[in-house]
Amino acid sequence: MTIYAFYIYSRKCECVFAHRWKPSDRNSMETLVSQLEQNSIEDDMEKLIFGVVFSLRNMVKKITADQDQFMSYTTSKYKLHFYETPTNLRLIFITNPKIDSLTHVLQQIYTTLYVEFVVKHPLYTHVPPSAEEGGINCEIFRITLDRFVRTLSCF
Amino acid sequence: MSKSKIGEDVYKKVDKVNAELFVLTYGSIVAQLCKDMNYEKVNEELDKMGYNIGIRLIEDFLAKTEWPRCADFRETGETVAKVGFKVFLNFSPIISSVSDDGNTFVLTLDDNPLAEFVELPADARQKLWYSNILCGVIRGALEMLQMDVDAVFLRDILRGDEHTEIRVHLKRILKEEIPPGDE
Repeated sequence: MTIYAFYIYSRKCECVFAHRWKPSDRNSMETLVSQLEQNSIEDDMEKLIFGVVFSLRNMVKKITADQDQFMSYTTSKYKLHFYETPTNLRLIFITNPKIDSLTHVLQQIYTTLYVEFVVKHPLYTHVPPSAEEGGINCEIFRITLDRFVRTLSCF
Repeated sequence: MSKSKIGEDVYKKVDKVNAELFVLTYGSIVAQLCKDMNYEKVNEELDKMGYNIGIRLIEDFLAKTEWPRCADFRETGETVAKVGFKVFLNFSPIISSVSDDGNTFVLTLDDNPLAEFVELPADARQKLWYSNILCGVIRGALEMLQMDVDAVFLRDILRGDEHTEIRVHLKRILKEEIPPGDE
């Protein structure tokens, strides 16, 4: 159990998707459901994460050439992995600090899950609504994401 | 690796639909629109439909090609022509007359697949831009990449012109959104 949470932020800088993995009995459907219900609560946390990531990213871009991106940072307790698409969609993992970079996994999630299930969804809007207004409301995306992350060797 | 080569490679990998089915479907959409409204409105409507396609298509494009951000608008133009068009429509327009400031380019689409089997009625020849949906797609896709562009048809073989040309002009680079309450 080394992956703690996953977030997506839209180009409007709003958190549009959040998913957390709880350590206890993580396969039961109830855990999944209770997570769904809790998702809207830790709003402040989401804003704080975004603040940090946004500033770091801008700082990195200022120091080096435009193409540069920061990929992760590590504290003594956790590691944050970051991936941004050219359309300014930001995907974030929060994991155990000992894990190798998951940027390529984030990229994979974007290409195989986000594009397939969210972008190709008939009700897709180019800026998904913020989490308070429901966020990315696509159950199949959440379920496949959950399943996909559980298959990762580091999970 | 050159851009055309990458376009070619990605094109080989993606799922395809029957070209005739696609072209005829598009044809019937345009025909229906022409029945429903006047030609100026049809142009507008096609552009709007294209825009809605473009804002999604760009994500699909990025997923398929893992394309990095282009350094300047000139490179964007080349990418649109050699990779974008190739991947989705299997042809590459020729890119020409890039303006000195690099903010305008013209795409020549002489083998535009949308226009296959098409003949415009005489009264539509002056007004209808049959493939106007392409302009919308370009506009929508580039807007998602922070580029506010104008894309318009200059000429069309269907109207009796020598070439089919789209002009794309960069109006401005959109500012990135910043979080509320942040400077």
